[in-house]
Amino acid sequence: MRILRSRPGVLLLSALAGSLASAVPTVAQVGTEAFAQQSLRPYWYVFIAYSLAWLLLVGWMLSIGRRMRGLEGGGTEDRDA
Amino acid sequence: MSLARIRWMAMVLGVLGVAGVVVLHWLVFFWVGTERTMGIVQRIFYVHVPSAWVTFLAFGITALCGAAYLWLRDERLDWAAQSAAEGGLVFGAIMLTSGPLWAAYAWGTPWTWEPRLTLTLLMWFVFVGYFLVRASAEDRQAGKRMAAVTGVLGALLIPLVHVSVLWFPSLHPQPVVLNVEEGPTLDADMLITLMIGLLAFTLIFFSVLFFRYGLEHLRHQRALETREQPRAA
Amino acid sequence: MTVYLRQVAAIVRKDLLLELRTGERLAAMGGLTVLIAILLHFAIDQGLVRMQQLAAGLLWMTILFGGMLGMGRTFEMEREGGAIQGLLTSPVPLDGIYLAKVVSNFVLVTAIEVVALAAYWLFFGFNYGNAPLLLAAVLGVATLGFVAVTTLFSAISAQTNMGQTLLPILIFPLLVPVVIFGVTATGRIFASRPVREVEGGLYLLAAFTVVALTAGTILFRYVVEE
Repeated sequence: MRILRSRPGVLLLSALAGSLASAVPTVAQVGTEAFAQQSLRPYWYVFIAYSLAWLLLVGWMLSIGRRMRGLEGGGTEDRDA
Repeated sequence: MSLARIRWMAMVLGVLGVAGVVVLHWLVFFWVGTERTMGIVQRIFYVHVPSAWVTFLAFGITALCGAAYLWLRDERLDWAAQSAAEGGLVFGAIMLTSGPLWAAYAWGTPWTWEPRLTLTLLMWFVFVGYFLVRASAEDRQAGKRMAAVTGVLGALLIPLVHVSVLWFPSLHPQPVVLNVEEGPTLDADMLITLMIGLLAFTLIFFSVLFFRYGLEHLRHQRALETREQPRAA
Repeated sequence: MTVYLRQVAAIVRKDLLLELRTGERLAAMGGLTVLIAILLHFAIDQGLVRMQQLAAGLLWMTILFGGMLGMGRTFEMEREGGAIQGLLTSPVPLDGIYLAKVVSNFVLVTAIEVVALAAYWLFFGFNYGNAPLLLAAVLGVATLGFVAVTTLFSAISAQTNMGQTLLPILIFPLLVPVVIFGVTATGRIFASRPVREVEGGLYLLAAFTVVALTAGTILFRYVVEE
């Protein structure tokens, strides 16, 4: 896991873990509140919206980390994003 | 600022931002009340509005730093503008995916030609243009200037774009926080959650902005090193 | 001031003379305009929609695409053979060069607007309403704003390896006001609505044009400086 060695990597993994941890109880909440009366569609929409948000952010940070490592590894990777 | 200093700032902001995000998730999924008419799907609000705010912030930083770069020619301003533009692209994408998901359920249609929706999509395209200009410029220095010009002209014309799209009738909810006449019309718990969301997203944005800025800083250092010590044969 | 104006006029005259001699941009733009009209005849089922209802929108889309095709070459032409160097090192201030290019492009786009209006009248019998002066004012103001934005960005796209391919992504998001007010104002003129229904759109078009022209004049020097 090279990602654990870069500081942005650690940061984003903790963010990811945090949001995943908070998603688990949501499912529990779904179970108690509305399972019977209402369709699951809105929950899916919320889930997809939050996942996409974090995936995009994580992707951005990963790409910064990758570019940063390319430079730190002595390479003179020299291109604009 | 030295590279270590930039990274330290980024880390501090990042830790605060992640803490804010964890609190935000807890608030959104456990604490805040469910909105009466839209139901659960309204919880998308707490990522949608903060990402929209950050996108506008990024747009402002890109334009201001771009204009200052054209004037002062300090490379650091260009790094900041470029980093903010990348943030605008990412947070704009978050806004443009979370919005239609919410709308698809609440309004029954993922896309309406609603002023703010249209405006943000167009603004996102200005960011795309910004990077296309940078990437395809034949001369690197010219690319930086031309990208800055793109950002500045975009920022000058976007208000007019906004005025013009406002002409169309709208489904989008009216401002609920900065409502001048009645004060915030949002319930207190929703308002607090939203504020935490805004704070967390802003911190995360600035954290990644600093990392991204550090990347440009490093790239600059590397370029200097290779120039000073030509590789020994 | 008069020197400045004379310098600008000299560049405009040179551009337009060149255009008249070779006619390459005018031919391409005019050709595209007529061809779009022909394709639209087959693209739109006239048993379902009346073309007249779409008149303003079709006209403006034709103008935007036709205009973009020609204006994209404003600076590429100068770069071929390095003529741009001569122009940039001449005593004419850089903003003067920009304004001259805006004027010559404005003349070109106005010419294809005439072609487009004629083609649509000929092919589809469009009714252009009964206020030709007001129509000319709306077209003129909107075209100037369109040209001001596109001329600046064509100077940018000419210095990239994507060339004209880049142009639509850069200009179309910013040209939304021109399309909205251009189409609503001309649409109302075509429908012979009272002047006060057109006024608002005309003022906003004028505001757009003023902002775009001023910004272009100031920003142009940063695009072409060496």
